[in-house]
Amino acid sequence: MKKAIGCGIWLTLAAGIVAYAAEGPPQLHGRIVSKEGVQNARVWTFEVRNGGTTAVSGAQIDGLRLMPDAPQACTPVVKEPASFPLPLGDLAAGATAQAKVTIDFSGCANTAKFRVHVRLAGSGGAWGAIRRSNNYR
Amino acid sequence: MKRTMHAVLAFLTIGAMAQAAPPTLDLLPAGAVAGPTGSTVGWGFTITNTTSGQWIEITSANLCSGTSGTSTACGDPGLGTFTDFISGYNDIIVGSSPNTTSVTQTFNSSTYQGIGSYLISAASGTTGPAQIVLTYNVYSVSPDDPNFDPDIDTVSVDNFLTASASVTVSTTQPPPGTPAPPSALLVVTGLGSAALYEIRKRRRGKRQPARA
Repeated sequence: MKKAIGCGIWLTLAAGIVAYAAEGPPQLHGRIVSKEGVQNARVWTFEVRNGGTTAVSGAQIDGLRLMPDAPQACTPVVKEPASFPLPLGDLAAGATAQAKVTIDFSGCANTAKFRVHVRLAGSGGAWGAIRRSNNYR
Repeated sequence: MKRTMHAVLAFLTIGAMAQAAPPTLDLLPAGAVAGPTGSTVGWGFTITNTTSGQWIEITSANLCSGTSGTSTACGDPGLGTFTDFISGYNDIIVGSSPNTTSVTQTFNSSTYQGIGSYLISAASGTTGPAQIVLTYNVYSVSPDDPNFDPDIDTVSVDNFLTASASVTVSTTQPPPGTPAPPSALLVVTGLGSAALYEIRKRRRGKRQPARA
C-alpha cells in the first residue's frame, strides 16, 4: 500500500503505535546515510543507533514525514516499505541498524526541498527522532 | 632533476590536501555565552568550505551536552530550549561560485539569524562543556546552479560539523527601573496590608471606651 507523505501528514501509525506519555531522554538516534537511485525510486538509507546503556528490543522506524519547504506540485510517495512501522530488530547498547525506504519523487522539481522527520521507537519507551531541513530527494 | 620532481610532487600533494580540507565552523562572538534566566542567548557563525568542486548545505543544528550529538544521541544540556535558526529559518550553502566559500552571520533572535537561540529557563547553573552540532549534505554541483540534479549531484549526506559551546546562567542584577518580580510585589503588598491593619486596630482601640 502506497502512502502519500506530502503536506505534513504522518504516513503510518496505524499499527504498532508506541506510547510516548512518559518520555525520558532519547535513547535512539540516527542519521540519513545515503540517497541513491532514480527520481521515481529514490532509496534513502537510515542508520539508527542505540545510544543508551541498555538493550532495546523491537526497535523500529515508526514513521517518516516529508514536509515541503515551499508549496510544491508534487507529493512524494513511499513505495517500500508498504507500511510503517519499519522493524529494525533488537539493538544492544551501542549497536546500529540500517533500513531502506524507497520513495517516489515523480513530479518533484530538482530543487524541491523537504523537512524530514523520522520517529524512532523501541521497547521500554525507548524513542528518538531524526529531524533535518533543506533536504532534496 | 630528481629534486625538482620531488618538489613538484610535494606541491601537488599539498595542493590536493588543501583542496580537500573539511569545512570549518567558528562561533561568533564565541562559543561560551551567558545570560540571566528568562533571557535568550545564541550564536552567530562563520562557515568556510574551500574544497573545490564541492558545495555544502546545512540541514540541522543542535546544542548537545559534552561531546554528544555525533556518534551518540544529542544530550540535552538542561538549562533551557535550543531553537535551530540556521536550517530551520535559513538555507546556508557554502562553496565556490555561484555561492561563496565563507558565510558569516551574527546572531539576531528577531530576524532568526545565526546558528540558533537558547532560551534560558534555569535559575542558575551552567551547561559545562557542550557543543554545537550541525549536519550538512555535500553536492558536486551547487544547489543554486540551474543544472543541479540531486539524483546525480549528491556526494554525501548527514555529515557533522561541530564547535565547542556552553551556556551559563548569569546572576546579573536587572538594571535600575526594572519592575520588581511578582513575588517581591506580593511580599511588599502583604507587609503593607498587615501594617495598615495594625495601625487601624490601634486607632480603633484608642477611640473605644474601656469596658466596665
